[in-house]
Amino acid sequence: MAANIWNSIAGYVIINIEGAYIERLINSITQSGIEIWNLKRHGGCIRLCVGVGGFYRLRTIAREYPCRIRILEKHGLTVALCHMGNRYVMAFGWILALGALIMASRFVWIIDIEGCSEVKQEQVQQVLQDSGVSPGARRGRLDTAAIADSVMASDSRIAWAGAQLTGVVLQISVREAAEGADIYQAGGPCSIFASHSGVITSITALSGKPKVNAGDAVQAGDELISGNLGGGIQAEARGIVAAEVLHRYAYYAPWEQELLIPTGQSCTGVWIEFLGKTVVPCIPPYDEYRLGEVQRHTFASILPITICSAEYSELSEGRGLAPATKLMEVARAGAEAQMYEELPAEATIISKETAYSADDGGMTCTIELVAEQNIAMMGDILPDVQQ
Amino acid sequence: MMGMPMETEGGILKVTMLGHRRALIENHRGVYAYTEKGITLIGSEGLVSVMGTDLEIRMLDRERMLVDGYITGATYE
Repeated sequence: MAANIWNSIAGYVIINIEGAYIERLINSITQSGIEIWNLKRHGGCIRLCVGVGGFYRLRTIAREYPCRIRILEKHGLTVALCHMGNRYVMAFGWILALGALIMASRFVWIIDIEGCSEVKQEQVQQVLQDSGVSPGARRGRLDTAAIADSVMASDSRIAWAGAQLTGVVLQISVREAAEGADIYQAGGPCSIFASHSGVITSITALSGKPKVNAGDAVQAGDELISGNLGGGIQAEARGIVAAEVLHRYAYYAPWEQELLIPTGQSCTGVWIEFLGKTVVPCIPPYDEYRLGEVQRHTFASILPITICSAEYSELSEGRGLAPATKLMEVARAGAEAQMYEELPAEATIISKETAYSADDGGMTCTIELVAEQNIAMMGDILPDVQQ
Repeated sequence: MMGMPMETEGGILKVTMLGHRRALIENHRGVYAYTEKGITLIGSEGLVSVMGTDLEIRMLDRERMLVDGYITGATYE
């Protein structure tokens, strides 16, 4: 296989030998040390392969024999280069392109930063620029460990940074630090009370004496974890008490609302579409408007153009009687705004029901939901009750 | 001689066949005849003919020859 590869690079020819005493000629060739291969008899002649250098020596030997040699095919890199002839400019261009490629590969052209979330990517780029790392920097002068250290030291939010050079790409990986947990500051003796009425789902007493169990129904103000440990010993009660709490929010929306009311003014607008896309748009004549039915006139047989027209009816803000569907939306939005304002952020909504009721003045939206939330609230330790 | 293998004496023509597709002939002294029906080689003790069809000499140098094709037999003359 190696010989085949070398022959393909150095070049070889396929020749045809015909005449008399061909076997003697072949013996002379082999005795001369000329390498030949793939010999095959074709009628009165023999076809074989010989290297380019060997062919010139073979021709000299063949003159002594009544044989005729004819070149059938030429192969190899040297043969291909010979075909280029006097194309010096093309050869120079190849060399120039190869040289430019080799030169360009000695520099960093792309800097890829990944892992940035809180830390801005521009900040990391500025740190790299201050360290002398930018597109066009020489690869050999970059110290990836020092680059990573400088990025990591630039911001306390960066827990780890890494730099890797792959070809002409400098890959910067950033891992941001997670927020630290709050450090607890110990306080004075106290007890835990219920901030809302509900049914306890779980109670975790970190310190103090729990007074209720999971499944108990409590009222707002009931003692949940006592800081009075008995025997005159008092402690700071701490713990998490989760309970299902019923919340109720209601919002009343009157029939008369701020609406967009038609003024009675209208005009026709025209625009042009090409292959379904608007190429000549129509500037709306009014700030607030309602668009009527769109009329389309096509010229598909000639050009894929559509001329569209519709009526623009002017609207303006004013007070008017809102339709029922609109009023329901207003009432629900008001009730939900209350809900989001009053419900603790960590509460988990278990069920939610929305109801509407209307009267002559307006519509009321009532939202009842059950949420699981922490109802623990600190308070003063209750005095001992004599039994 | 002394119980040594004959190959060690050197110069003796040796034919190694791989099935009927390939034959390696070593220690030949040249090609006597090359026709479409067979190849005849000169050995130290006479002529050796490798008969077959579509015979092609893959490699040829001063002492060795590698023949590919459909070989039907080798005879000594």
